[in-house]
Amino acid sequence: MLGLDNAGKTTIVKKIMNEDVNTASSSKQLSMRGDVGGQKTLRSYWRNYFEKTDALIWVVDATDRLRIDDCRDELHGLLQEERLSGASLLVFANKTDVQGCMDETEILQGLQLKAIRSHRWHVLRCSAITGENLREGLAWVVEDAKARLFLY
Amino acid sequence: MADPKEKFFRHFQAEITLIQDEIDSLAAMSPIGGERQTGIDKVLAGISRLSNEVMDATDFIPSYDQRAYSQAIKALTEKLNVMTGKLGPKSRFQFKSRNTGATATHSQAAPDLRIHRPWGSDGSQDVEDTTNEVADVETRDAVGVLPAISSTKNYNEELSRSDSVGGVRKPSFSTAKNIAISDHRGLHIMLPSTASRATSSGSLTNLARCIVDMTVPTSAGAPFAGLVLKNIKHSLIIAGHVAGPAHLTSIEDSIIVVAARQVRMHDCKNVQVYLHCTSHPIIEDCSKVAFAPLPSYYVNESTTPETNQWDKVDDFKWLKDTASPNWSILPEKHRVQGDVWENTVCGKASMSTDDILRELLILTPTGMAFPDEATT
Repeated sequence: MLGLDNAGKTTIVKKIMNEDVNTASSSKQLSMRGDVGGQKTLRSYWRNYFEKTDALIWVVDATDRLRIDDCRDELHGLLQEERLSGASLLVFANKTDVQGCMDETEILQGLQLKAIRSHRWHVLRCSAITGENLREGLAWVVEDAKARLFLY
Repeated sequence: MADPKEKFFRHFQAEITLIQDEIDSLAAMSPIGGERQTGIDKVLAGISRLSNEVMDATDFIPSYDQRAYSQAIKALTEKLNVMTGKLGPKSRFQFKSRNTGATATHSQAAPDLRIHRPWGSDGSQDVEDTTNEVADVETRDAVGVLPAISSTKNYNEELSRSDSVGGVRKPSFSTAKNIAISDHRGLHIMLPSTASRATSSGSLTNLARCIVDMTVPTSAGAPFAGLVLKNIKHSLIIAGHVAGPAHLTSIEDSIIVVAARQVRMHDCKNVQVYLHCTSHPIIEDCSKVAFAPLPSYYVNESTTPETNQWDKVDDFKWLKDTASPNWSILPEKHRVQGDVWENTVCGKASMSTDDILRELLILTPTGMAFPDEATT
């Protein structure tokens, strides 16, 4: 699970693990639960985590219009990574409980998802605070990865 | 029956011409009684319906065409922005990022303009979309009732005329959904309590020599869900309360006052941060950042000092065990004193925005803020 800092990765993990989401922290270390810090300094370490990756969950802060270009560049750069080839891509548009956030059209355009041909992708609105769509997202990832396994 | 691709193209053409005509006819509508606003709303609704239709049609239109369609829609939105920008005060402040660009033309505002609290004399007043100018700042308490005619004036003209006297602006925040203030110089902006419905998310970008105070709408039970501050120089930002993360990027020679659950700072230089943060504040690519706890004047029940971790800063550019050279704790003697927060920063009649910034050592003869700090 990757994304820019402040996208809400750790909060999503906490919510799924039923931990208190209101005590915020940030993944300074590269946490072994599968979410890796999104600060600029840490982004170059992302690559170390790709061995045998079946699925990538890309978390986007749907309220952060100012950095959507930055977010798109990181995502497209990442998908060039050879060890990620064939992995399913789930885009979590997080923080959609906040009024005035980007809608799906804006996310699709902002991230240029339609230009992605190398990976099967899926966008889902979610909220780490309310828990909306988190389990649905994971279910999609599991199903999609499973479908691929049977092909081999 | 025609090919669906072809059919959609014709439909799109017809729709876009219609909306263009509607935009052109806005200028002829009366700004009084909401007639023009209704027209603008209609155009906005048309644009969003059209972009939805393009989305729905993705099944049968090739991606190249999709791009062309969305570019056409974007051009339409821009056309509307240009038009509303021309038509007057509506665009003076913008609340939706899709209007970005509309205010860029106003960035050369005169230094003494102030946007003051509209609740000054009678806190109960419901702020309409009014723009007013008073000759003397000291009379601002008397501006409770505003002549309706002022809203029909061209805002730009007013701005350019009022460089010699202090002016008070009262744009409406009561219908805004979020706060997005950008591209201003030398303004003193205070968010009124009526903006509390607009605090779902906030952003302040591209400000210089400004004072912005967002305490009032955000501290009384309606904190920002998230806040972004970006590209700010020589300014005082009292950002108020944020229930989620506050993101501070590219800020220089400024004072920031903020209470947030989480704070991340990037590319900041020579900044003093008066902070309440319930997690470790994070800095990355920053230098000369000085931290102090939230002044007691701004503390409310959600920001008790016990939960404040303002001094537990994590510097991502300094992973060694020794103290980071990029940040420090602001010594007590250099902190802004309590009475200054209480009296000066809300605007004294005798002080211009620049005067206040000078008193806070944000504006200095050398151009670098806090020269005392640098020598000690």
